[in-house]
Order: sequence, then structure tokens, then C-alpha cells
Amino acid sequence: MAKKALEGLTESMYYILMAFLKEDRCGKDVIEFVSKKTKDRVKIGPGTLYTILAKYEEEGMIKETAVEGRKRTYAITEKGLQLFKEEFKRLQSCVQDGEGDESV
Amino acid sequence: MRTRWRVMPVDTCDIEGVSNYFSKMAGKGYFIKKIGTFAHFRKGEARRATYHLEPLTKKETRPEEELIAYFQETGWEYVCTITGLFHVYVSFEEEPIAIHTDHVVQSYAYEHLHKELKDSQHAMIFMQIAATLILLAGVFLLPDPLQSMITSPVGLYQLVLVQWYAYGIYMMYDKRRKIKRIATQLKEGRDSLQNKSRHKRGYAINYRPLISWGIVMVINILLLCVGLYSDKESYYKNLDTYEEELPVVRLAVIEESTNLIQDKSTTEGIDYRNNVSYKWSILSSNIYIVNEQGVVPNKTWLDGSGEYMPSVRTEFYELRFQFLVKPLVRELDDWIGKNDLEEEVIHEEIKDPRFSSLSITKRDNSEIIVASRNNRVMILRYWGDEELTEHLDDIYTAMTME
Repeated sequence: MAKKALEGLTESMYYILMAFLKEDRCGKDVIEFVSKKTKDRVKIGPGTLYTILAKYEEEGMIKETAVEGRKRTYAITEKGLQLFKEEFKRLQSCVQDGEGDESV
Repeated sequence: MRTRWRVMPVDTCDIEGVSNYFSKMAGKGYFIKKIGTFAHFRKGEARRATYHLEPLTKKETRPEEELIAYFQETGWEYVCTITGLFHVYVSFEEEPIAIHTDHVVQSYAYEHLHKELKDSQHAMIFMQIAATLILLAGVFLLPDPLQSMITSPVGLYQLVLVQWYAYGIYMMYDKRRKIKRIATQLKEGRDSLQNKSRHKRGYAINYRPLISWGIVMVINILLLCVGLYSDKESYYKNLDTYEEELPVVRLAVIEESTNLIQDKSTTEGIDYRNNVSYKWSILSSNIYIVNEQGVVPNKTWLDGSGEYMPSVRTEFYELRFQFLVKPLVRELDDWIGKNDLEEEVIHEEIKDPRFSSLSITKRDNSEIIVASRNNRVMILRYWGDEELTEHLDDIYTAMTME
């Protein structure tokens, strides 16, 4: 069953939000971050990236901080940070649940 | 540089179909450049091309430059924008990089587009409905909507416009429905857009919108031309200069008086009391309206109210479609039977096998006969002391005149 909007994050959404934790980034920086962090395991298409950025901005998870020529830079908001933490905890629980199961 | 204009053979909301159509054209050396009512292709060297339609996430006529640049870096060139719906991108790579790598996220884009369409269409749909109601009111709030449509092309023109508006509303709704369906499918994890386009590379031809708009346009143009041509053939003449036979019962016949003389009221050569007008319309091949007023010297009205000045007005319709006869007669009877003046009104159906229908309405100082036979309808309004029912033979003769 697919996840509802921002009730839970997809893998791409999770990594893109993660990209803003330590610094403000533009779209290209985000892709590079995700690629490096996941060792190219998670691929993010340009359409996916910009749809997520638009969605995050609309939902107040990130905000635009600078526009230089073609480049737009975004920063995570308090709301975005909260969402990331919740998702992190949820994923941690998932992993712990898996570790506690002897059949794994 | 050669260009080619083509009617879009695919519904613009058939994402897969549109992409495949553009790819097919590229394979023939025609590359899409602009899309409006028509698709505008630029001639070039035939090559393999993959197209992608990306839903608009905001009101814009082209994507942001940053987005264009980033798409470029991943091998996708921005081509054009289908107004209010999609940005079109092309890739000439053998294996183009996937623009979307997350179905759930892609569904957001479609949901967003669906919401935008919904919001922007609400106002448009409201205006369309308002325009439709105004047009319908313009026809059906008249006391004689059918008679108006028969005598003037305006009513018909309005009805065609109503259909046009109704179809426009349906088209808007249909687009939204299709976008919503794609969003739902993506959310459910069904990547119908990309997989199908890779394997099938076909598209369903759909000229329905074009044909529908075309039919309405042709009807409108025809109505306009017929209206203009009909006006050219219509005439208005003084009765004393009119020499041909008319499908009416003349006042002299009703009065049976040799003393009857025309009571003229002429201004700038036009006799407003004794005249004949003729025209035809889309619904009626012959329409005659004849007014006649006379005076019988040395005779007074039966109630002694002054010099006797009888008059008659006859409307004669030869309808092109017989099914219009009954509703027209019903409409005339209803209208004539109305009593706004609080006078005594007696309405009576007359059985006469020579007519399809025949009725007489008697008021204080007038009598009205509505008669129909085959595709002909006559309304005879008479102000005088004679009895119209004594002239049914004359009415029959007028109605059967060749």
C-alpha cells in the first residue's frame, strides 16, 4: 500500500530531507549528497527531486534561502526537522523489530 | 528550416500516447516544437527520441531555469509546455535516465496538477454554466420560444452555443478525471506511464475533441450564412402593390362587403396597416405575415362604438419538419389562451377532418384561429364583427394553396 502524503516518507523523500540537515543546498547538491551517502544505491530522477522540493516547500518542511542565477538554495525548517526525526525513529523501530526476530 | 503543422491525433491527457506520438514523428524526422490547437513540428534528421510529459506543479508557461538546467544535465531537453498541463522534455539517449524514480512522489505531481485544474476550472465551469443558463433563458423565457426559433436563427444559434458550452464543461471534467486516475494508479504503485511506453510505443488516435469542435463551428458558420442569405431573400411590401396570391384569408373575404376600403397609414411609402412580409428560415421554408385593416363607410360596430374598422393579421408557416407542427400549435394555443387583460376568453377545439388541428379563441373584441394541416400552420387574428368559423372553407383553401 502506498504511503499518504508526508504521513510517512518514501526512501527518496527521506534522503532528500536528510540532505538539508547539516547545510543549505540547491537541487544539484542534493543529488550529489544522496548519491554519495547511498553509494549510488538510491537514484533520484530530476522530476522526482523537483516534485519533492516543491512538495516540501509547499508543506513548509524546507524554505528557499537564496537565488543565484538559475540556482535556488533551500534550508530545512523546524517542521521539516521534526518530520525527519519522526521518520528516523520509525525506521529505527523497524530495524530493531527485524533484529529481534530470530528468523532474520 | 521546414516546419509542419499537425492536428494532435492524441488526447493531451493520454500521457503515454502523446509521448509515443512525438517519438514516432521524431523517427520520421519531425520534432515537436510547440503545442496549441495544433502540434508544430520542426523538420530535422530522423532519429530515436524519447519524450516525457511532466505535470505542471505551479502556474507557469515554462519550467524554472534551474530545473531546465538540471534536466539538461541528466540528458533531457526542455521542448515546450502544453498550456496548463505539462512541460514536454526530450532525450536522445539510447537509455534515458528516468525522470521519476519514485511513484509516490510522481503521484504528488499529478495530484497537484489535478488540484490546480480543479481550482482554475471551478471559475470557468461557473461562467460556462451561467452563460448556458442565460442563453437558455433567452430562448425559453420567451412566451413563444419555438415560434421565435422558427422565425429567427438567433434561438437556434443560442441552442448550438449551449451545446458548445456543455461540451466544454465535459472536456474540462474529463481532463481532470484522467489526471486523477493517473495519480491514483501511481500512488498504488502502478507505473503505467513508463512501462507501457517502453513496450508498446503506440498511441490511440482520438480526434473526438477536434471533430466535436469542428461540427459546432460548421453549424455556427452555416447558421450565420443561412441567416444572412435568408435576410437577402426576405421582403416587406405594401399590400396594394402585392400582386401574387397569398396563403391567407383576405379581409374582404371575411367581411363579404363590397364597400370595404383599405384603411392606410403610410409613412415614407410604407403602409403600416396593410402589408405583407415574407421570409424563410432553417425550420420553415415559407413564412408569410400579412396585416390588413379596412373601413366600411357608413357602418358602425355592432355595439355602436363608432365607424366599423375591421382588421386581420395572418401568420402562415410552412415548416420543414412535420414534428414541429404539434409543439408549435400547442405553444400558440397556450399563448393565445392566456388572459392577462381579465377579459372573457373562450377557447374551443373544432373537429374538422380537413385539418390536423383547428381551434378558435374568442375574446371581447377579437377571434383567433390556429389551424394546422400537414406541415402548415396558420394563425389568424381577426378584429371585427364577423364569425371566423363561417370561413373554414376559405382557411382550408388558403392552407392548401400550392
